[in-house]
Amino acid sequence: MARTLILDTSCKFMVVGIASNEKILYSTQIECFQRQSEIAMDEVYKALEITKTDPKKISKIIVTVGPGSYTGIRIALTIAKVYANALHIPLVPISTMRAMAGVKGRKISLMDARSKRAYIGIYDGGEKVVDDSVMTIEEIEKLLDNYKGYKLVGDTHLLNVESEEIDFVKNLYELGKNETGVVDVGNINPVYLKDK
Amino acid sequence: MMKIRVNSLDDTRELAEILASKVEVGDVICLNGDLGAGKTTFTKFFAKALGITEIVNSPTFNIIKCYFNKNMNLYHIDAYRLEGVDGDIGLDEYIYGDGVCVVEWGEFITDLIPDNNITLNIRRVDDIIREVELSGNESLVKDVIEAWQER
Repeated sequence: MARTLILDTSCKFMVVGIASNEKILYSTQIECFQRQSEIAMDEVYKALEITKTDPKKISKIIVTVGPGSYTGIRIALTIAKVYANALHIPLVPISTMRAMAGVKGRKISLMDARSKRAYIGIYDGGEKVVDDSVMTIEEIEKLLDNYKGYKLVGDTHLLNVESEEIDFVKNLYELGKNETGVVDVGNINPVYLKDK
Repeated sequence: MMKIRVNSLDDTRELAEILASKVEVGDVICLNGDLGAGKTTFTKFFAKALGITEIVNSPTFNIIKCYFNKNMNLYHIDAYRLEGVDGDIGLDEYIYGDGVCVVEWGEFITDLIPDNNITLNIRRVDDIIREVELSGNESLVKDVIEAWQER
């Protein structure tokens, strides 16, 4: 059975998942901010080994493209592009904000962008309400009044709000499983948002 | 601004140890001085005082080296190769990161250096003696000077 590889390193986690036929076979989410590159390949190999997945059986890769950590985004995206290119398989790029929101409910995704700013994404049932952006915490606080009933996810401590940990593998699989993806992976670029 | 005289390598080590005992997450230390002034030597002592056991050397080629450490992470930036470089390369993730940051050649990334940084201008007097001028972050400078005088 064809398998889907799921990767994310765009925030503080090293995320690897393997899914097949609506089932998540393997999922890991290790908190290792700024250190993902040290374990990334080992974690991918481990996932393939444990699920006895021959890389040739991977038919699709779902990967986050940011916004998020400048260094972090490129780790998973580079691994994904190399696999996709070598295996001639499509890549499904997904906004990190959308991955945080998942497919269910009304969500506001937040990620610390430092200097009292955060990346923000607003999603309803996995579909974006407005484009992802970077704003000051102050601006976000004001904006929230317009989005009553939306649940905050991610770095919600920036607004002194507690939230549950996000299951990135589950969210990414649900968002990307029915997407055909992009074959010409050279055209997929990281989304930094901060670059002028 | 405060000036202190460093009369030996042991003095350099003591100064680094004092600073290491006073810094907090988010602090940025700018080291200025000519080639051979002792910026890297200072950083080595500073890292050791933070509890870092890895070998610390100049990140001129790498631009940044991260030393992850239970007590306090250290980010060591050498911005020398960033002169005239326009655009974001994500250094703010470290400067405003989860640790303390030592910056050499900070004049090439002035936009990224927070106002409350502590700056050490190291001037070579002779082969051994250095004059260190501390400025910036007032409370930190005061703490360091006090500890230096009391030692």
